[in-house]
Parts: sequence; C-alpha cells; structure tokens
Amino acid sequence: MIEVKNLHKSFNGYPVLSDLNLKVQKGSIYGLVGANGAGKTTLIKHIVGAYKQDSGNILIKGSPIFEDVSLKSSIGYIADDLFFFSMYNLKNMSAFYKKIYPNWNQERYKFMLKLFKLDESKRISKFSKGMQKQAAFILTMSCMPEILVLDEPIDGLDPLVRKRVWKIIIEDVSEREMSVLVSSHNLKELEGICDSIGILNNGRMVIERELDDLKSDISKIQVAYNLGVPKELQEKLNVLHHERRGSIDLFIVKGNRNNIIEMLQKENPLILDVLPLTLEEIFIYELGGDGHEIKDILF
Amino acid sequence: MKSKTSYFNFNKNIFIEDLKRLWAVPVLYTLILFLTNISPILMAYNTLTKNGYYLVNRLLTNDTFFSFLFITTAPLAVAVLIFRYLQQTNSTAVMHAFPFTRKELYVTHCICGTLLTILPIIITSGILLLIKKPVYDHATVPADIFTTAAIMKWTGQNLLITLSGFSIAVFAGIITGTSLLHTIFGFGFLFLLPGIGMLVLLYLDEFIFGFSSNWRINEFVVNLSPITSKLDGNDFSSGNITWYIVLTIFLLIISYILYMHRKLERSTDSIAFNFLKPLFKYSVAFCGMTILGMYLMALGENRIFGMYAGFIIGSLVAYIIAEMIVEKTIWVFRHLKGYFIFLLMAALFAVLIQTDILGYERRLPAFDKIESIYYGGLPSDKKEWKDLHMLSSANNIESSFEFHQSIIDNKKWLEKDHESEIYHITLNYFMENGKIFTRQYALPYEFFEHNPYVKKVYESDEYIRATNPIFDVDEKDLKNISLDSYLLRDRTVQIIDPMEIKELCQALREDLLNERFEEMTSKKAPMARIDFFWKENSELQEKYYHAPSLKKSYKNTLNWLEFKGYIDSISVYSEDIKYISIHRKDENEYFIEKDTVSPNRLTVPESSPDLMVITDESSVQKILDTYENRYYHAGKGYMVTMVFNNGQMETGFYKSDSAPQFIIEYFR
Repeated sequence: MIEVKNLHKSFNGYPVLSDLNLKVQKGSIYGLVGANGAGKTTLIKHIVGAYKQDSGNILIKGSPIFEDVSLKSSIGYIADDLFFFSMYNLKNMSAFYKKIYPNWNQERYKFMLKLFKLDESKRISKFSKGMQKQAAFILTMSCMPEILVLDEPIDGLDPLVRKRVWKIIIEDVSEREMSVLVSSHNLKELEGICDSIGILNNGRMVIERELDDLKSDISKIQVAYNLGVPKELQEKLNVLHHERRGSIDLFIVKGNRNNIIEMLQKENPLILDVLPLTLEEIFIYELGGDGHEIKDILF
Repeated sequence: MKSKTSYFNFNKNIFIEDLKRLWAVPVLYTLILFLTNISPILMAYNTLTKNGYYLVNRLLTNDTFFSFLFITTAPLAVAVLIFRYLQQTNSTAVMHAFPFTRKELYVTHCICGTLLTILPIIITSGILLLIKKPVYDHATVPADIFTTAAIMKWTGQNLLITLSGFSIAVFAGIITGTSLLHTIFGFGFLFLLPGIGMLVLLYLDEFIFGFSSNWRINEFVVNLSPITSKLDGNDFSSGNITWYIVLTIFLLIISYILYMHRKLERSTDSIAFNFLKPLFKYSVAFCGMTILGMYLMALGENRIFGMYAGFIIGSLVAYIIAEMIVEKTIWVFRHLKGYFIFLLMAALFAVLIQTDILGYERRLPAFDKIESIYYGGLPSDKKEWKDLHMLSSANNIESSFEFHQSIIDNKKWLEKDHESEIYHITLNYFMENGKIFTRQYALPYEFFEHNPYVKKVYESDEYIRATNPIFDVDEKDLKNISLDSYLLRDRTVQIIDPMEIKELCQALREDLLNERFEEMTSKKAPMARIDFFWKENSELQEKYYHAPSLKKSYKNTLNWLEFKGYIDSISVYSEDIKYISIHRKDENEYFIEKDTVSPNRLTVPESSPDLMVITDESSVQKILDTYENRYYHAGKGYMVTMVFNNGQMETGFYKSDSAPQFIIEYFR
C-alpha cells in the first residue's frame, strides 16, 4: 500500500532523510519508531503528499502520491501538530471534509461524535489538546480512509480514549483492510498493536521487521543445571545474550523455539522456563552486542 | 459518485471556504468606501449641483486619506489572510495533505482574492453611477464633472491599483515564510521599483558627468508603480495602464511558478527561496549604502570622505540587519562573507561608472542629424514644446556643438571645486529621427563667461530672438509698460501712449539685438525693471510679463527715454545719496547692514580703517554707475551700502578685482 524507495531529503543542505526504504502491507499496522528529530514527521509529510522529496519514490497503491488528488483522498492523516480553520467548529469542519473526501460516512461521524462526547457546535480552537486530537480522529475516520497515517497519535490522550481509538482502528484494519502507519518515539506504546516495526535514526532506517517472525524467532529462556550449562550445548545454540544469576542461566537465543527447548530438556535441567520478551528486548538483542546503539536511540 | 468540483484548476470547495473565512474584509472595505466616497456626496446631495465641485472632484481623484489607505491595504490584507496557511508548519502540511493540487490551491485562492478585492470597488462604482447628477465647476468653463466617464475612470484606476497591489502582495506571500514579513514586503514592494529607480538616479546624477534626472526620467520612475504614480497625482497614460496590467499578470504567473516549486518545509523561514536570499540582502545593503552615503555627502564638509564612509557603514549595517532578518537571529557576524562580495560588486560598479565604459559622458549626437537645439529644461506638457524657440541655424548648431565639446574636453577641470557661482545649463538636441539627446552640466561661471562658442550663440540674432519674449510681443495688445528704478521706490514711469509703447519696444529690441556677450554676462546692477501689462480683453493668459531689466548699456532705450524726457524720472543721481559706506568683507563673513550705517541711518558715520564712508559727488556717481548686484557674490569683496536722502537703504557689491581703484587703495 505504502512504498518508500530510496528517499532523500535535505533541509538547507543538511540531510534529514537519506536512502530511506519502507513498505507497509495492505491491512497491516506499521509502527515507525524513532527519537525526537529522527525524521519521523518529515517522512510522514512525504507520505501524505505535502513535501516533495529531493530524490527517491513515494508510492501509494503503486503510484506517486505527490499532487495526485485521488490518492490523497484515500489517505487519512492526523498530524502531530493539528490544524483546523480558525473560527470553525466541528460541524463546519465536518461539512468541509464531507465535500472533499468522496467516501465520507455521515453515520459513522454521528456515531463517533456520540462515542467521544464532543460538542459539535463549539469552536475547535476552544477544545483542549486531547479533545482536538479526538476531533481530528473523528473527522479522519469518518472519511473511511484506505490508508491511515498517524503522527504521534496518543500524545495527550487519556488511557480510556486511547483504548477506544485503537479499538476503532483495529476494527477498520480487520474489517476493511485499512493500512495504518503510526509513528511514536516510544516503542512500548506500539507493543501489541503493530504488525511491523521500523526504527528510524538520524534520517536512516536502522531496522525494519515483521513482529510475528521476530517473536517466534527469538526466545528468552532461564535454565538451571546441576553442574552448569554443558559447554557443547552452549556451542550448539545461537546465543545472542547470556547472563548468570546465581545458579540460574538466562539465555536469549535465536532459532526455532521447540527445537531449542528439546535440546535443553535432553540434559535434564532443574529449571527450564520460557519468559516473555518485550519489543525493546527483541530489538536490542536482534541488533546484537549489548544493544547500546539501539538503547541510545529508543530509551 | 461525487460531482466534479475542479474546472481549469478552480476548486469550488476551496473557493467557498475562502469566502466563508474572509467575507469580513470586503464588507469592511465596502463600508469604508461608502463612508469615505459616497456618504459625503449624499450628505451634500441637495446642493451638489451648485457647490459640489470640490467635494466630488476630490472623491473621484481618491484624494482622501482613508480611501487611499484602504485601496492599498485591502488587497494586502486579503493576500496575507488567504495565504496565511503557507506560513505555518501545521497548516501548510495539513492543507497540502488534503485532496487538492497546489495548482488548485493557488488558482482558486487568487481568483477568490481578486474577487474579494475588486467587489467593493465595483459596488461603490455602481452606487456612484446611481446617484450621479450634474456637478459643475464654475471656476473655469462650466462642465459637468460627475459623469459616467469620470466614475468609470475612478473605477478603472482603483481596479488597476487594487489588482496590481494584490498581485504584488501574492508575490510577497509566496517568497516569504512568515505573515509578518509577508505584510512588510507586500507593502514595501508597492514602492520597490520607483524606490530603486530613484536611488539609481541619485547615483547617475552624482557620478555621471552630463547626466541629469529631468522630469521625463523622474516621471518614468514614479509611474513604475501605480501607487506612487497616484500619490504623485498623475493620471494613468495608456502606456502605464498596459504596464500595470503586464506587471500584474507577470507577478501572478511568477508567483504560480514559485508556488509550484516552493518547499513547504520553508514555512516560518524569512525568505522561502535560497536564490532570493542574496538578492534580498544586497538590495537592503544597496539602500542602506545609498541613503547614508548621500546623506553624509550632503551634510559634511568633506564630501568625498563623508560619502565613502557613508557607503561602507550604511551598507554594512543594512547588510547585517538583512542577514539577521534572513537567519532570524542576531548572531550573524560569522556570516558576512556575502558582504564582501557586495562590496566587490559595488566597487566594480563604481569603476564602471568612473571609467565611463558605455561612453555616455564622451558621447555627442551625430552632428549632421541634429535638427535643432534647445537651451533649458523642457516643459512637462508636450503640447507646449511647439512654442519652444529652438535654435536651428547651422551656425548656432555648430557653435553649440563646439561648446558641448569644450565642456566634455574640460571635464576634469570643471569637476573641481570652484569659487565662482555655478551656472546650470541644459542642452537638448532634437534629432531628425524624433529623438531628444539631453545633457545637463553645472558650470563655474568663469568657464561659461569666457567661452567663445557660448559668445557666438548668445550674440546670434536667432538666440536673442528665441530667448527674449519681447520679440513675440504685439504692441497692440499692451495696455502699458512700467519702468521702476531698482534703487528708489519713487522713481517710476508709466508708458501708456500706444505710439510710445511701440517706440520703446522697438528701442529695447534693438538694444537686445546689439548686446554683446560681455554685457549679457556683466554683473553690473541694471537701472530699472520693465514690466509689460496686457489689455484686459487680450487672449493671453498672463496678466503681465517681466521684461529684461533696463541696463546702463542700452543706448537706444536710454536715448529714447531721454528724448521723451522720462529719463530723470527713473534715474538715481549722486544728489539723491546721503552717503555710501564700504566695508571689506572676508570669504565667509556674514554681512549685516546695520554695522555699516549709523544708528539713525541719516547721520553720516565716521570713516575707520574698516569702513570707508563716501559723500563726494564724483565718487558717489562712479559707484552708482558701476556697483554690482549683491546676490551674485558670496566670496571676498566689498559690501556697498547706499543710504538715500529719504532714509531708504540699498546694498551692492564689488568683487576684490572689480572695485574702483579708490576703494581698493583705501583698504590697502
């Protein structure tokens, strides 16, 4: 659905995005993670057709997005820094959206208005920041976008509203195969939501992975043997990380989980537990070493 | 399925949204136009036909402060508001993520802005047409001034000013990244072309020998912008109208192209395009350089030093300010490389001017293509040119040409500081192909008075006839001629007999034709002023004509006056004088008469080494015959104060070398 190829962009001669590639599959949720200033917002403004790249391609449904009205009308975009016409209330704004987005769904608008309990006739500029985010969300989702682009969407939303927002998004993804690109500076926020994650640092894509593959491929296991872990066993396993806590050994291992457990069972461990891995850990160990680099980027 | 909303890149939805947001501006504008231009007419409606001339004329020429203010600010306000979304990071991204193309946004905004700015004028014009009724100007020939044609002219002029103002404001908005600078540039650009033109003329006037910005060039520069043209009180000529339309269309097209290439991330930058940054900085530096340089030059004792100091300081300060605006920080002192490039270009420009690379200063018109020559400034109304007395005789053309050549050959000497007063001369060559070749020079009087070619021209019949209107006077139109002594108020003669008028004119003409160049340029004070008065019913507009003064060398006229017995009535003799005091004056001394006369004036003061008091008849007569006009002399010399028996006092002057011997000897 979204494909970014070799994107380059510089501001006043300083490269902001370089040789950037990204792919969002239809009906999937892509998490774009990076520290402040990594280039997330700049990349998103290219994807929604506002910025023009210096070089490279930005394709939506296979065609360049820049200046393509029909492609733009299939994208719903909620900016980090929101904008509404001054003096307008939600009703005026929805009338405007209704005219310019061909798939506008009035029933959904009414439904969401009730759900989020917003006053349609109050000037949007009088809303709090969180309410403005909700207003933008109502407007955008009522356009029934094929592609939803969210720039730091949960900033300023309370947990209850956040949950409600994600619920609606996930429903649309599963029901109408909407594709979502969501950016965040915090990996934790995207835990359990995204199908793929891309990590951006200094305008470059550091790593891009499908989460399903990653999760089944990396395991966190604690074992204890009477005489310590046999050496030949350690050599057979593809160990990314090893830590000794008293008599217990903690392994982060790459490879088929069932095979690994089978191998460990053979040597009659006293304890053998498979522990849950957080997204952070996956990325830290996936990138190898002590993960200092990725720690610096994300945490 | 949605209906198509975009035709020729006009997008109905954007248009409606613009109208919804900005309707207040045209409403306010219409209201103001109503208050300033219509309500005064309505209030005086009953007496309009009789007394409304001044009022209606003033309103139809936009001569009111408020209507003029709004004609310039309304288009700017609309442009600033309509393109405000470009100047903020959040709105620019969201607006361009909406399903519109940039083309649609630009075209629709421009159409909407144009409509919003012209609608108030059209409405006002419509109301004016509805309420128009005959209004007469009784001062001249009664003619209705509140006509459809006059209202249409008002409408047309305002539409032009508004539309060009709007296009300038749009251009300013596209090249800047903040609304504040958009406003400042939008206003400043209204004056940009004439402003730069004027500054360039300042340089040409100052540095190019022979160049002078006459009214034709000035008018051209002023008319570059409709605002300055209107401020100058000009009517738009068809050429100007074409230029304003071309300018408007050109700016809208250029702005369109720039918008298509505008990098949206540049919002909040001062200047949105890199290639415009040096242009902006250099323009500001140029203005700063010129203003301070010319100011210090005009002010200071040491003109050249002041000028160059002003150039460098002015351009540096202006450049730093411009750099601060562009970079939006005051810490710009590490980024002044561009300033040195500017200095280099300025120096190159100076060298170009100094070396006269285009040959402007040395150029003379093709001698055999000259039709005629006119000395002096040309009147601004071209219709009056036919009344000019051109010199077209071969001798005069040749002498003028030689005179011009002698000026060019002596450029170095002429440009030095000279003690004598400066004589400004303008030479206009009318060429066979209809072109006019003009040069103006400021010549020291000593160069002028000793120039053999000028002598030839000035002594020629053609020149004398051309420069003295007395040769065109028909004596039959004259009511009287009055002769008044320059010294004593009661010495005056009125010639009213038609025969005598004719004879006096004849005598004067003969004297003028026979006058030698040395006499023309002599500073000796003349005897009397001569004024011609026309008959009441004459067709001539002027009521009187100030003829050349009666000089002591006009033998024919003096003989005629003597023959008729009038001479004593205008002459001043030694017996009229109580005493004359002479005071030697230094170069820069400011002379005050009271220092040279006694407190009660008629008591003869005592001579002293500083003051020579003369009462003897022959010396007094000598002074009366030879004293020179005071206003010719600023430098060293002798101040002459004449006290008459009736208590009147007049002053004259002698230069150090022109005084009679007995004065020079007294002060030795």
